[in-house]
Amino acid sequence: MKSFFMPTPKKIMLCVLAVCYGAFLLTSCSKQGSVHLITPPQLPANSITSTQIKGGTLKGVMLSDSTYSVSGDVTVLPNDSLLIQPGATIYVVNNSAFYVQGTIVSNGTKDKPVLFTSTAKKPGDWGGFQCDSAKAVTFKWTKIDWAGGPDSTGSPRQTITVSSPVNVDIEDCWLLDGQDNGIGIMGPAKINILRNTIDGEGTTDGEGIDLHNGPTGAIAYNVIWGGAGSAIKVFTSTTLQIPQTNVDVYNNTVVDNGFRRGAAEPGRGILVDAFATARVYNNLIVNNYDGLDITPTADTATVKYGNNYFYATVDSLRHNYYPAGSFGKPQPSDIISSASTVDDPMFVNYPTNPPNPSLRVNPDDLHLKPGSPAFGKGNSHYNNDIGAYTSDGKGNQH
Amino acid sequence: MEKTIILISFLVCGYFSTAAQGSVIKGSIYDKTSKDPVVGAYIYLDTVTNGEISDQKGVYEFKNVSQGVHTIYVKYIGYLSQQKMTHVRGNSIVKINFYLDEKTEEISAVNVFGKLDAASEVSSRIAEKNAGNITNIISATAIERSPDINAANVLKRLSGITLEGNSSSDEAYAIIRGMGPRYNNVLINGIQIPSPDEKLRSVPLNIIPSNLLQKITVSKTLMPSMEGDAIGGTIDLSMRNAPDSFSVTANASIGYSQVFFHRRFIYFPTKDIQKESPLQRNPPGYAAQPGDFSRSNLDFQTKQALPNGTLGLTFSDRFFNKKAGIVIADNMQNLYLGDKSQFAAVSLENEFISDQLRPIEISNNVSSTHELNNGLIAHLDYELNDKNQFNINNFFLYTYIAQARLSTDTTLVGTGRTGPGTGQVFLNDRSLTQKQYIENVEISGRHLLLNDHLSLDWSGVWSEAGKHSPDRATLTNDFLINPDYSKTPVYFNSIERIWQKNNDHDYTGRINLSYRGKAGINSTLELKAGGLFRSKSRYNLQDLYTLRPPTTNSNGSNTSGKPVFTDIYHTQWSVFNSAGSGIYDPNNYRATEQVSATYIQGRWEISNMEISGGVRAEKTFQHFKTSKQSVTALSEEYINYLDVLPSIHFKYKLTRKTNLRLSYFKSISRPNYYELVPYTIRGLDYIESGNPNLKHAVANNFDFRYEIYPGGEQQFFAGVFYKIIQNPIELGLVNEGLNSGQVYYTPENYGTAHNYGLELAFMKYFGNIGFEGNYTYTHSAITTPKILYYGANHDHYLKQIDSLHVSETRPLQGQSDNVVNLSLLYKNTAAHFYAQLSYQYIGETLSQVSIYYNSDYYQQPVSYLSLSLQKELGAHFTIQGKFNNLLNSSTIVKAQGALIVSRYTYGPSYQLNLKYIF
Repeated sequence: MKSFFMPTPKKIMLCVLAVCYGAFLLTSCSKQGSVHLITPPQLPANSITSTQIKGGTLKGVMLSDSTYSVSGDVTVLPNDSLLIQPGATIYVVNNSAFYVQGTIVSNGTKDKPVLFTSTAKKPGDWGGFQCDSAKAVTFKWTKIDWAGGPDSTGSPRQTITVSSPVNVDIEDCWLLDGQDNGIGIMGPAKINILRNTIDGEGTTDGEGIDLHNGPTGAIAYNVIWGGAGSAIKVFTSTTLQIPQTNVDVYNNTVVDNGFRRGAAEPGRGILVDAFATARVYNNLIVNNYDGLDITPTADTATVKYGNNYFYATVDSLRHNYYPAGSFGKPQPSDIISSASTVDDPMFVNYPTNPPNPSLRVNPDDLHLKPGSPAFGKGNSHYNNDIGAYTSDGKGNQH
Repeated sequence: MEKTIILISFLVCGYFSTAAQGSVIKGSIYDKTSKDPVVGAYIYLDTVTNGEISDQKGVYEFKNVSQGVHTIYVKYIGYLSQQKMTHVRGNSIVKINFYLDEKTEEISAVNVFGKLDAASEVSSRIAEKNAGNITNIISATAIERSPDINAANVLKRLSGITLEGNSSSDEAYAIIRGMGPRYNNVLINGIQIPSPDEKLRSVPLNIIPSNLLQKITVSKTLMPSMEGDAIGGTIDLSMRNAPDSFSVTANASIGYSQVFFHRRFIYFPTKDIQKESPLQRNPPGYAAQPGDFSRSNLDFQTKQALPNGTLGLTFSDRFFNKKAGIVIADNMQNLYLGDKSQFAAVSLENEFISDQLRPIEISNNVSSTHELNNGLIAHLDYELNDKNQFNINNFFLYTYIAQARLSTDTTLVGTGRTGPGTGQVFLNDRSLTQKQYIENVEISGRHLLLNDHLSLDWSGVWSEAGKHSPDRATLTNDFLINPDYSKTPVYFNSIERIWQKNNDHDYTGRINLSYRGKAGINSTLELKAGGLFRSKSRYNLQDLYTLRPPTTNSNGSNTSGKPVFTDIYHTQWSVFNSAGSGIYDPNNYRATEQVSATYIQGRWEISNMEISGGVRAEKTFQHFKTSKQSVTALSEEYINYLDVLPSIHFKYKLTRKTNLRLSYFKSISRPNYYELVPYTIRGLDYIESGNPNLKHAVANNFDFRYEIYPGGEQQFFAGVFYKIIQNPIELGLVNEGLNSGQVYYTPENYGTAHNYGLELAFMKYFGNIGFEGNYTYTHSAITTPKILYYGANHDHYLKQIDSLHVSETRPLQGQSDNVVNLSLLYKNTAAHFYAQLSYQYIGETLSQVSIYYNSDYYQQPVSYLSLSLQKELGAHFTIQGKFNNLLNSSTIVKAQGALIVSRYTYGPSYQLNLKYIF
């Protein structure tokens, strides 16, 4: 060992080499090189020039009282907008969908609603409005029928879905017979979901209105009938509890929901669950599998509820107004019918009694007859009446 | 495969042997210290030309020996030569044994073609001692004696190595000194092989039968001549090579898994499984019909499990004046495996208040797997003369599994649960059949030039790997346990059918030129330069169908929701996505990768010091393409980068039997293929996505080690290591700000990780009893963002990123803190008996990284015990018993110290093996 440290010319040379090499080590590098991402060519979006839309990027205006046919997926790019004028009718075929990254405004009116429909008229015929990263979403006086067809991974699509933190206004619309959720808000959007009629959503699964991961705003004056799952589901997430879903759910009429998903996973009239909070008032909750379920995992410290009206024509459903295990309990301000003859809300016409899950088109007229116990029993902060059809004319206009 | 068969038939037909009579001199050759038989020694009678080689048991025999006095000489590299004289009378048998002394001096570095039986443990120690870099070698002898049946079992006995499970929980991928599978590479005969996995680079080691292995070399430091994409290390599997004599070995074993003493084996008929999906077997635009999907593969039945069996055959010989050598070995394993597992989905109890976790769903799984492994190797070499040698190696691994998994998921947090024992229950029954293969054909040559001072070796390799998993079918049903504990009927929810197929193939060319010579009186010099080019292409194809209850019944009217499930033959369904997912499935991609590398390396030995090192440059070019998810989505990319990887290794020989080593090397780790693919899969709470901007990891590695080689199989070493890893790849959540609404779960580069630790290993014999053991301590640290609502946190030392995220420092995924292996060996050479009792302890291991602060999943410390016994019966037979997992150890994973996230139990297994050596 000693001999090794004795300097000889050879060892000196070795040391020099080692030092040179050391210098090389310190200066050598790994070059990151280049990453070349092939961004798909973004041709300027096609303005609408024909009533036959074959798909691709699209912007512009669908004209009043015109009929369009969409036969391929349509994308509205982030800086573009698609405007649909009153009275336009759009037939969507080939399981096509609208992918909205920019702005969509469907501007129907009471006299001239916009209609999106399919030709085959079966649930799941087309893909609906996939507005995950949209800039703004507005639907007014628009009928959207038969959406919910599968996406590329085989999952069902919601009739209208939004994930981005933008304004979502869905007012006075009709959603009929989608295969999955009617309206699914999957992120912290600011929502106004007002005065809509949602019938027969979901074949074996799906909610009328499904909120996840932080939407805020109001769900009011909607009539939701005969859905597979819950009429209104207010949910944050068990895994990502922030941002919190926080909404006012008032003056909705929810009837005959929650049967098609089966008794193992039945739907609710209104469900508040998984770290969400809500103020639930003035809702008319009739013949749903379960009524109002505020689960123990909801943000029970902040959830408020009252002035809700529970009625059932089937005796067994009467136990489920506030289902077993629910945090929610009957409130003194509630109207709780104890028999089909007691506290009948007096619908104008209610032939789906008892509820028939195989019906997909609503034969009922859920307006209230004069003298209904629902009038004047509401929480006046929201409305003096209970249910979607109120006497002050602010309610559902359908 | 076909090529292999042709090769075998050609060689088998070409082979014939002769017999002889007369006086006989025979005996055995042993290592004096270890008492192990010395295999491959050269024994000659009177003249050098009249010689032969000792066989696999160290036995030699000379037939037809004439009467009179003869001298027997024994020569073997690494040992002192011996000679003995004997007087032979007419028609007699003379037995003469030799006990060889190990040569303490080294095999000269100038000697290029040394012949040392690579299968023995002694040769392993010599190779470890003489290597320029830090290696651990385990030999065929040690593998045979161990309780291990595949390469993964074998590897975990080496110091610093633990294994990670694959998707079906088999221990498949190696973790070297706390560095997960992505940081290591697997070579066969020195060349990287492709992975049969559709997404990863890692090669599953559990499908490689241990009987085919000549040795496994684990290099924990890299020389410039080695491929540079290994930060943890390189695992080189050497397949059986041709010895210098005729040999036929056969072995057969029978065994049983204890699991099936207690329960029956679950299976499903496989006869109706369609090889191709409806989309693949019909013209474009076809709409899949309910009748396109078979039913019997979801008809689960039970039976008594059959015994496990293995069958192996190795044939080798040399002919044409020993110029040509051949090895053909085949090993088949037919296994019936069972396991039981439990998984809990966990989430925060209330993110606003604390970071406390709770289980929200429990799933209990029982699975039964029928596994058929076949490994076939064919080797052909031809020594044109002393200076020119050619080899052809072919290697084919094939695995078939049929796995039934029945799972019961109970929702603990959610609607319908009113207390313990109530709530929603989902039943997921899955049938899976899968074929997996790896094939490799190598043609190589070695040439000596310039008076043996220059050596040129080259090889060309074609290899292919892949997996074909047709119609993976999962049936989901559900029921509810009501508050009064009554149950609803079981409803038919949905069926998922997936056809998956992937393939990866490589062409590799490699050339090395080395010069060895004297550089002065006390000094030798070796210079080496070379290059490698590999071109790879791979694809994954997946086609998924969802079957759901029909919306209309047979008379055309609407159904009233989910039907009650009776049995699979009476279930009505409609094909929800009748076009399949095949055209746009985000799992589908194509990739190519070209790696070109050149290096220059020197090894200079001067008196007691050896310096080796040099520099390697690796250029990587990759291309990825996936189906376009939307008109604006990325679907294609090109990546290229260059790495210059220097290394230097000092070895100082303190004495003839001790070394001191100091090493530095730089190396890289390339991302897994699928991680770079710009895919997105939208989940309920977040979006799973690839990261096309992911950088490869680059590490600076330092090692220091002290080694003693007392002789024979014995050794002792102690070492420390330190690694600085830039851009390690870890999965994490990326949030585009608190209120963005888009949360991505994606592979990311998180700064710099540090990994250090120490290693100890020893092997010592006291007479017939030996002790072998190793210990590794590893510490690694990396800092990544985690979810923690700051209002809930009172720790002011935490680094806050925003109101919802903090930085947390943790170990690298897959890292275990303490790993201990201990073996008690008993060897009685005279009685031809050998026993090994092996104990393994694996300390706390980070098994999965959580998205939440203080919530990572740790595998709990676990101990394993196994036993193997070996007895030679006469000259030809060896009987072995292998008894694994005698403690019936469970793998338990916990979060936050107490919450059980998963538990996996597979039970002990027993195997009785009979080996015949011709």
